[in-house]
Amino acid sequence: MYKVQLEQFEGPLDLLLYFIKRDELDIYDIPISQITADYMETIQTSKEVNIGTAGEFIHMAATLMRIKSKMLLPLSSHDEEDDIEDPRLPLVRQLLDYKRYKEAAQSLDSMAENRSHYFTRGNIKDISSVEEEAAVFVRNVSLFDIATYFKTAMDNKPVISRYELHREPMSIDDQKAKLLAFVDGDGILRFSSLIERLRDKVEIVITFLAILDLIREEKILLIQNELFGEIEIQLISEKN
Amino acid sequence: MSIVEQEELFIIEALLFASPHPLTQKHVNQIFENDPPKLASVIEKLKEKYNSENHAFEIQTIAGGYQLNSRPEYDIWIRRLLNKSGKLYLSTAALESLAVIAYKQPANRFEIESIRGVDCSGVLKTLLNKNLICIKGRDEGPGRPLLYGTTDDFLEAFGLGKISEIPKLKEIADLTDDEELPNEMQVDIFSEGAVPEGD
Repeated sequence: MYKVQLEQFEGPLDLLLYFIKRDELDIYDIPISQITADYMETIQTSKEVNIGTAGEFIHMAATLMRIKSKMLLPLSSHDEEDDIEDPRLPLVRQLLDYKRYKEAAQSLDSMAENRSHYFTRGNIKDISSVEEEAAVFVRNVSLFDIATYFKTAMDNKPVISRYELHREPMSIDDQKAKLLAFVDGDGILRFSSLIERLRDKVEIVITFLAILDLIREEKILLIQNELFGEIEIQLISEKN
Repeated sequence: MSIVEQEELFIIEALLFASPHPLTQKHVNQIFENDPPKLASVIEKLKEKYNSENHAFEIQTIAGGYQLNSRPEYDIWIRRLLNKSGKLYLSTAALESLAVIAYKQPANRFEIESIRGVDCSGVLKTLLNKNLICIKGRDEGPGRPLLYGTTDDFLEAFGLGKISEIPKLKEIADLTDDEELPNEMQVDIFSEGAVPEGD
């Protein structure tokens, strides 16, 4: 049997109409259990499910199931014959409505096809429009006006302040080497004497980073013997 | 025909020739400073003239105006010249949504979606971009959804003089099958006042 693929349908209503046409069903008397079975099989076997339309197909599945179950229920005895609405009716209305617009869409398409045989003079390239607009724009405007507008525009121009960025002449690696060179014969450098040699904020920052890096590399130790006391940088000798 | 009438005929013919959009009485009123000619009657005379002289073009009533169109039997030659077909290609989803809007306008997204049973937001965007539909305002009720209607470009794309010229849904149903529709569905949607009039 011909395999039905979900992607070729515009939605659940389109799929149901397809079953009705294929099996020559009476739209006013849809065999609900047959069509529900066909519908469920199609959505279950479809390999690719578009996330956007999956919900709509599942919603219809639930609707079909509900109609099917309602039709299985026996009618309660006190229900008047006239009051009972066929549970399929809302779906039938929806299907007929959709069918009408589907057909209207097809007739629009054939109208577009008919129309395509007529060519209008809408293909003229408007080469003159740019100059004309400019002409309209400067109408009744004197040179003085333009000069005035120009001056106002220039005066009101937003001020852009300049910040110059310099590349810092020192690197952490340079500072590390320098720091190690400051260390005296005992392998000790006092923090206060190091700071005295630093020139500006940037150098202080880089030196601190260099110290942290040296600690990480286990090349130096920081020693503080008492609270608020002098911090000493001690070289870890390679012999140890 | 008086000399004045003769001159008006030529002016209107020139306007038709140069106008990129269907020529309307409104355009004519703007162009003539005083005493604008009645476009419809001048067009009638022009049509008679073209019929008797046999031309490769004809005047059509499109989107509430008049437009010069090449006759359909020569489209094959023009296609070769322009290297394109004049056909507007739309997906089934776009055509269906457009059909709902054309018949139910002004329609909001939820009305369109409830008829088609699927989400239509992407399709509406496409139709708006192609200028086949436009936003007509906002609906009353929850969320005040946008209302959509068809444009003059829609009329032009489908060769319609005005929106009420689209075939009635009932007529389409009659053509496609002989199913008897329930009475409530045969309501003529183009009864008086149901459709906005064009210019």
